[in-house]
Amino acid sequence: MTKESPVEKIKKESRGLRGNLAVEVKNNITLGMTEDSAQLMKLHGTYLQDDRDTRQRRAEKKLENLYSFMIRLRIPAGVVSSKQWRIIDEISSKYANDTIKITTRQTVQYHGVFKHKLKPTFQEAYKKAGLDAIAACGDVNRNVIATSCVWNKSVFDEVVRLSTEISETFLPKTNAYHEIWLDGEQVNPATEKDDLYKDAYLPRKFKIAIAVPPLNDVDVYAHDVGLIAIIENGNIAGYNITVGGGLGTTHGNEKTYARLGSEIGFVTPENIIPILRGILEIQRDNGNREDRKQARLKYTIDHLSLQWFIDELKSRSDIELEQVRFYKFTSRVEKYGFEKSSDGFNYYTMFVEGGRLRGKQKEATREIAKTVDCQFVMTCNQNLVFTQILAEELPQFRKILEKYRIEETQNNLTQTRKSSIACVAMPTCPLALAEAERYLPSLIEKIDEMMLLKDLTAQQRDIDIRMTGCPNGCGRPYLAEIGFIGKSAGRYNMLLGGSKDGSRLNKIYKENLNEEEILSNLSELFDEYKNSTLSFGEFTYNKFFKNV
Amino acid sequence: MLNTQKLKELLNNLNNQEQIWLYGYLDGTLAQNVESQVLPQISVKFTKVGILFVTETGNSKKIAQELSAYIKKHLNIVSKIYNAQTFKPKQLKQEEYLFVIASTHGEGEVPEAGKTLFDFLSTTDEQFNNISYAVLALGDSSYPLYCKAGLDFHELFTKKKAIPLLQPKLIDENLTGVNEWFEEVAKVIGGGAPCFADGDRVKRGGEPSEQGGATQMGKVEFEAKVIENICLSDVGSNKAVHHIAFETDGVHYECGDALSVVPITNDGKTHTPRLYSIASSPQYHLGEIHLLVARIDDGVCSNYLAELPLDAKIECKISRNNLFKLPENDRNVIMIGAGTGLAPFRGFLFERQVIGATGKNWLFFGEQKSTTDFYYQTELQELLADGTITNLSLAFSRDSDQKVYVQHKMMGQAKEFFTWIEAGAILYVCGAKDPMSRDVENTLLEIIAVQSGKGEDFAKEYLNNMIDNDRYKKDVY
Repeated sequence: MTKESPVEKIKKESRGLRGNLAVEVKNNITLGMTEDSAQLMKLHGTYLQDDRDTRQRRAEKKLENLYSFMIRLRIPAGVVSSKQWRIIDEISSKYANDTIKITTRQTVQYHGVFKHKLKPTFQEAYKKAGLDAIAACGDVNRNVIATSCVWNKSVFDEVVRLSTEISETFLPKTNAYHEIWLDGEQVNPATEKDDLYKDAYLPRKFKIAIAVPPLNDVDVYAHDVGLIAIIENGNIAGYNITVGGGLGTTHGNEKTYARLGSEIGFVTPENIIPILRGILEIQRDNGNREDRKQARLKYTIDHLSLQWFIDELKSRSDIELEQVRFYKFTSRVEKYGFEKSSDGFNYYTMFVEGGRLRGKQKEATREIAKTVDCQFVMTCNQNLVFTQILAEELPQFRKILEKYRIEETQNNLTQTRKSSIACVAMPTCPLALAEAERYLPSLIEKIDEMMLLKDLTAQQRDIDIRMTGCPNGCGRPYLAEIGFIGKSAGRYNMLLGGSKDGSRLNKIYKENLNEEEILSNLSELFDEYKNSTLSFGEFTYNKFFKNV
Repeated sequence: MLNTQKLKELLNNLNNQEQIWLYGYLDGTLAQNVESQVLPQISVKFTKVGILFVTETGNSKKIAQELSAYIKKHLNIVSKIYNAQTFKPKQLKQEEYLFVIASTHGEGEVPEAGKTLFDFLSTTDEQFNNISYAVLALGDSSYPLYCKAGLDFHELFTKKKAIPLLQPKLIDENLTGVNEWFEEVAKVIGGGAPCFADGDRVKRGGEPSEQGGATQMGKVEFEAKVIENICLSDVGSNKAVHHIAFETDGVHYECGDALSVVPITNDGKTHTPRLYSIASSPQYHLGEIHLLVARIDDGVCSNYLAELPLDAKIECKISRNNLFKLPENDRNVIMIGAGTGLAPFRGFLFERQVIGATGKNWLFFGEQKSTTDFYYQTELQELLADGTITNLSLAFSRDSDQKVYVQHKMMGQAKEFFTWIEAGAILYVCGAKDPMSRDVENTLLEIIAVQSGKGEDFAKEYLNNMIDNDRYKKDVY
């Protein structure tokens, strides 16, 4: 028998995710933590990282690496109030690196939170804004994401409600977070019972996304489970279910691959929770617990077959799946600027490059949070939507946009830039092999310039470009029209042929390119693309992969 | 006839110990010769001589012990040695003769150990016209306010109507002239020239004695070459603390000693030397001396040192600190250092590691931020991992809203702390005199009072005992 992954032991011996965290968080001899504790910290929504830019300098100063934590809040569907945003912003300045990263999982990530700032961060987020980070990372169901369909208030409210219900239903049943971070009452772990996760939780992370056509901003096929809302007569009739999506791969490991979710049927809203419970149980009991690189649901399904999975789900949930129903995605990128919702509210979509709010743009959000009573919706494209703006507060809202030149700046950006996604990568992500968030803007500038020089039309100049520093897929590069996946410093695999609606994976076009090579390849491609009426993804797919 | 009134007064002036001594003395003398003239002998033998030392590095203490031995040998008088730090002002009146041996600290300051006495003499209305006294003032003539503290004490006693027996004697750091002063002292007590046997003089000067000590005062200047100069404070720190390593072949020093450095500046001004506690271990860092220097905006010497390029050479000498030495190998030690006060303890720890000392080591260190101000972090982590450091207690005052300092860390582990002390641990404190060393001392008293369950007065006595037994050592500035 193969040996269980060491992470399994850590989870099982953690006494409900408590481990030795309470002691280690107080240990100021190191800014870091032991490996076991760092593993457990994931289930408390954090990753131990270090500032890789300063490693050399600090070693010379006889200092250890500058360890800090990335904290990912749990915000189902990415919706918070103005009041909550004020706290989110305040915490970022007080305890993190004074920036807010809006992630592709529709939540706030804080970076650079030192160990001794963890507790104040968690406390203020919870006590002042009612937010926590439970299960935002780790081998559990993570933050539930949903299309930012603010244009239809009743549908939006329903998917936000469902996201919240799913998130809360599938939280680990442990008081650990409250005890360790919030000074909550001590509960004997032996008295806690977690029917779903038991003591070993899931074999690997688990992601659920809800999509509301025609916008596929969530990239619904990229997740372990996708729920595609079927709108009939203006209401949600139910959801088509997809299973086994997942993008992460490992360089050089041919057993790993990106996989789109398979649509297995339709269920009505009241059956969603039982169906999800069944899927989670199947994965819990059948997922690979020896090799973490084969542990996602996509591998479980492929190893045991999709039909086996469907049968098993039926027997576990006792719910008959109906035939999938019709829907159509037309886009993955939200419309920027002002729009009006079905119920007459104004909303505004702001582009946030790389999802990183800092400086003036961050100040603008702070001022909005302080003076306009609205909803803040983080999108899966790392942008920010302000919705539910009352007519009487609209002038104030516009004033702030003008003051910080938000609208003006945004209008001057190219569509390609506004569709781009980059993960964090360097300097804090320990997995990063190359730059992403810090580098993509300058590369896009060069690509934009080239497209203009080559007289591409406005429509042709709308290309979805995504870059990640490693093959794990946080920025969903496998679904981009042009994906860049970091291989080593300054070098990327270039992937082409993704579709605009996110229903087709791209494929590796060339490996290990530096910037010069990237640009010369694109230059050649654009020369030919100029004469095409297709999107760049379709064009490259037809040219390179269709008949392979 | 015996004047009973006078006898009463005399007895009243004796403390308990002295009365017991007197009882024994009379008993013994009477037993030998019931007819002997007892009283006149008492009046001679009962000359009460106190020797009070105010010390910074242990030189004054050593001289006090030597003077006491000298008086015993030549005049057969048993004197009492007082440490100014634990001396109670009311004890002053018990002495007929008082010999004050006072060193000077830094720019003409009274050492920490003498502050209480100094403040008392400066403010009291009492007069001491029945005390005869003389002062031996120690100093370093390269400083402008040479021997200032001793001279201040001399002046204070004069003001309080005490009778000066001798002009204050100024002693430079090579200690020349101490023997002569001993002779003068013996003369004024004995009322005549004591006779010395040939070769009976206490050895003085630069010859190092085997035991080290006051006679080994370093005076040899040497050149040291910079081989490392690193700002340990990371980006974002409010400080600029440098680790500076010098190559110093053949220079003898011990952990706890300081390096005396004379800064050289372009403006041609001559500067007084500055002392830096040595941060290295001669056994571990062979042929090297390390300093931990906090760069201060207007600090002439710290700026001079911090800007030294590699291969630059400085003029310096070892300044011994005999009061700040490691104990026997199996003894446990508690080290409390804030800021650059960490320096000597780094030396201690590496020394204890390399010689395989079996005593346990508990290090307290305090600074502002754990992210930027944790000097020698990786080294200390290794010393902890290999067991050299038994306990490592760190106080970073700006890590949280509650300003946590070293004394809070002591208090947080009061029980274990007291257990260590009770088991005989030596306690070292290094860093800023104010407020760090005072806060530490107050906390120490509180820990002793509470943990012993015997209250404040007991704690004071306990601490005084520790001082008298060389178990509470301070190197503060």
